[in-house]
Amino acid sequence: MQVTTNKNFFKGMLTGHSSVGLMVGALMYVICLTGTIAVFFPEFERWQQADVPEFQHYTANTITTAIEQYQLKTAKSPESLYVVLPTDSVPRMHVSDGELEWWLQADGKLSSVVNEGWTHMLTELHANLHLPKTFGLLIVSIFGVMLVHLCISGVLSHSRIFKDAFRLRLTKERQQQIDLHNRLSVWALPFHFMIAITGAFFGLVSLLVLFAAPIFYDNDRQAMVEDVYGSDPNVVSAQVKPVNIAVALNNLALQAPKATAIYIVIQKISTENQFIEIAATLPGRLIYSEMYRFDANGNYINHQGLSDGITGRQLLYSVYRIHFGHFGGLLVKIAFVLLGLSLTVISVTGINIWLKKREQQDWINHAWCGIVWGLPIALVASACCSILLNISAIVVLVIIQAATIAACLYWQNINKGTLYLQRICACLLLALVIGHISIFYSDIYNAFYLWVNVTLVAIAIVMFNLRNDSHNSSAGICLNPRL
Amino acid sequence: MFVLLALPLWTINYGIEFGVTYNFIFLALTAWFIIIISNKPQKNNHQRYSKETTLKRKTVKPNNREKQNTSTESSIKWLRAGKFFSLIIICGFSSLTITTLFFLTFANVLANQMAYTALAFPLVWGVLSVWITFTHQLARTSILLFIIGTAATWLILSLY
Repeated sequence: MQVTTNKNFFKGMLTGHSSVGLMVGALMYVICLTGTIAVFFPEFERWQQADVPEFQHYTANTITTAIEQYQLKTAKSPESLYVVLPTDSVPRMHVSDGELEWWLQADGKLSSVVNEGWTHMLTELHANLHLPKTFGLLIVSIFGVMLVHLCISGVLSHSRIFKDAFRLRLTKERQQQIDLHNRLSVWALPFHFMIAITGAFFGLVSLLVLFAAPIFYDNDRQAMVEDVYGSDPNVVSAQVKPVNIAVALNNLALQAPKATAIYIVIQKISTENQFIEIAATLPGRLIYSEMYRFDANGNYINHQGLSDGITGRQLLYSVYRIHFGHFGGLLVKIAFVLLGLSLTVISVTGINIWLKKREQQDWINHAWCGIVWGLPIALVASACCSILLNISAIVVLVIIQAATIAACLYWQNINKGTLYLQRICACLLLALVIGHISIFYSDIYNAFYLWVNVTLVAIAIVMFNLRNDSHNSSAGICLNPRL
Repeated sequence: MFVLLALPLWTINYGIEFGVTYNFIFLALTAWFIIIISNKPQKNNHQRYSKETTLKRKTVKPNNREKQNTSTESSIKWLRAGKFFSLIIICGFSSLTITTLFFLTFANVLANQMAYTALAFPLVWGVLSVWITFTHQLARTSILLFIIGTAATWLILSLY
């Protein structure tokens, strides 16, 4: 009786797990793959515009010149003017008002316009699937909730979770897919949970604001946000004059000697209420930054309390770094890519298991092959067109993805489809590297660009041999939707 | 075991926030490494996979759903639509209200209550959606969740 009850429980959980997995399948794959690549989005941003001046050291004069140059160029007084400072991973400076954006030279003068291009397309695809911003964010967040569901139901539907903890049976293809799906998901469960919950948070917080603001804050949403994240200081100065960045930076060093400034914001510039905010990272903390506030003369006012304020505020401000793996340097980023890739493989093998279980082959199998292997091609092709030919990345992505699905449906042969698409992707990656070198040939000896290009070539070689691997080894690279 | 025991060392060296995160990452990578080295490729698989590369096209068999009559098919569609509605709308509403009420009771500062709710409510939503997809009594469970959500809203409104 007990055995039957347990069996029914696992069966019921597995049914729920499968139905939700199928519901979110393809889009979950898109979100996971783009998220995995987006871990390196600052590096890709740097790589796609390789001819921008790079430097590590800056002075207060550099920032002051940048502000003056921006004002001369635009004759605007924006609500917030950002000067983003160089870091180890991105040794560049840029100035932005949220709409207009320029790279800076080492002396603070404006350089070329920041071209968001392909990287922006990638991050937007991950964050909101290029749907209208708030709606898209909400949809992607619901996918985060569904990932939470899949994590829980996946664990509860696993009747031999401890017994099979280190088992990877490679003999039968379906068993291989199941084992890979289970082993990857079980051991990375804390990571998947973290990604799901933090990912869901970004969009669902707007639902909470909609619900809670009328009840607790007299329908004042701004008041709610300020209560949680901290409010701006009230600054009224007697005269409007240029802000004193040098004094502010000196005072920051006195107030928080261990803090490293990452960007500076001039709020309400050229008004009586102007003040300076310096965002700075603190060693050993996951919070994105602490915000130190200074008046126009550079005198310290206060800090926002993101590092030492209420616990909830510190938690919320740690979400970004922990979701994108932007802490602890390159090794953590590589680990996040591996873990993200595992989530991508899990989403593919999940659908593969279902396809195999159907014991029939129809257009769904072919379309799935087109989606799985078409998306990497679409991403690489869009990068080629955006960086080399300055064509809209999203348009190329949609066209290529549709074309790969259509090609797989036309070929009606998953082996052929997989092989062709992998090789096309490898060729496109090589073309991208060659194109990048030919455009930015003067910078090819820069160690960073060299490493990125070598990595892309290595990925192309792996792609080219991936299909052969599944023929010749027992590993059978399980991203392969061959059924 | 050694990976888990390394947690204090990670924490001492990098602080509690980084220490715990590094430990989880390291746990996954170590486990996968063990799986790879303890499941070595078998020689005869080479032949096996080579033989399997030519895919035999299977004839499409009518599955169970196609055998069913139209009325059953229609009811399956309604069931799926109902499940989807419950999963997204009812579970979303109930989880939001239940989590808000929970933290109103257990956290003292309003800003903290909101922050904890924002992080916990996707988790509660996930748990409720597992229940919805598991249950055989979809209508009853959905109504129950809706009533709980409405009651939680009423309690929140009466508390504030």
